[in-house]
Amino acid sequence: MIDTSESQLIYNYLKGDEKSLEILINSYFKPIYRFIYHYVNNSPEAEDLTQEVFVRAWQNLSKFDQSKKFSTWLFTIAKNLALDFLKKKKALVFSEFEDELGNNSLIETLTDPLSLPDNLFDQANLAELLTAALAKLPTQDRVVVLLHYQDQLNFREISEYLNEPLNSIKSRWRRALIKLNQLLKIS
Amino acid sequence: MSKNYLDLFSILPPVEPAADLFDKINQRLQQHQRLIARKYRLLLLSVTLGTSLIALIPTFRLVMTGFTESGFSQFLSLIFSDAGVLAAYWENLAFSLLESLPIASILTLLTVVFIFFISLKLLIKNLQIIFIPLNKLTRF
Repeated sequence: MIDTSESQLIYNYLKGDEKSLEILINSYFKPIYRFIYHYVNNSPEAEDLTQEVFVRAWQNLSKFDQSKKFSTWLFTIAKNLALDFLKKKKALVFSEFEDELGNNSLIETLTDPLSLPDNLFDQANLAELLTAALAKLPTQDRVVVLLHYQDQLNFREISEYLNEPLNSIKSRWRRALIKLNQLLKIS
Repeated sequence: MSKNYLDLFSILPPVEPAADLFDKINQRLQQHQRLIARKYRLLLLSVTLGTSLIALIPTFRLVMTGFTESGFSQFLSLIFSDAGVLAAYWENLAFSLLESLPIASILTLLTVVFIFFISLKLLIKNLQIIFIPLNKLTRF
């Protein structure tokens, strides 16, 4: 159910109060930007897509179902725009370890994805290594990990933003950490 | 949460938008609002143009009928008939011509013509803006 204050803001805007829309935009433009940045990893593109998210939201605000959560709706628009952008750029990374049935052979072989290599934090260029490793992750898995560790969102919140089941989010998280672990060990 | 991974991700720079992103979003929305307003204006101008174009025919006929019924044509033909009569009675002829002018229908025709050309001018001006693709408009 939509937050009452957001519901009121949308109602006020549809009645002609422009300030209400500004308040809504102000509440969400930074989280939306960060969310899209995790997909595209490029500031100018993330800015452009963020603007487009709010244009799409504004165009469809009168059709928004107020029984649903506004943030979920907004983040769904953002996710779809980001994925469409990456598809056009042919920059979507898919998991190489998944078969047609969605089974992941990498998860079968590694037992403990949560421990990092011992000497990892001694590396001088760790930030670069991490950025390079993250770029090799499947896009959707990378986004889950970044939302969890960089944006401090819990799995339930990530599940709402991405509009995916909680178990799928946890699977993506686990899969991403396994792959990340492997990439960081190699480097 | 594993502390190791939290420590690891804490070395990444924070993701923050540019300071003017909020303003850019508002400007983009205003741009779209102006585009929609222009599209409505375009529709209105098309209707006005079409209506005035159609109205030209009956108003022109009205003027022609007015000229015929008022006797203006007959008075005008006197100018070309007898130069002597014209020289003697030019003032009376001038007043007769003025009195017999179908003023109302002429004004109606002029109004319709005026609306037609104004609509056409504004339509062309707005069409130029509408048909520029949105991604070629100002990017913020």
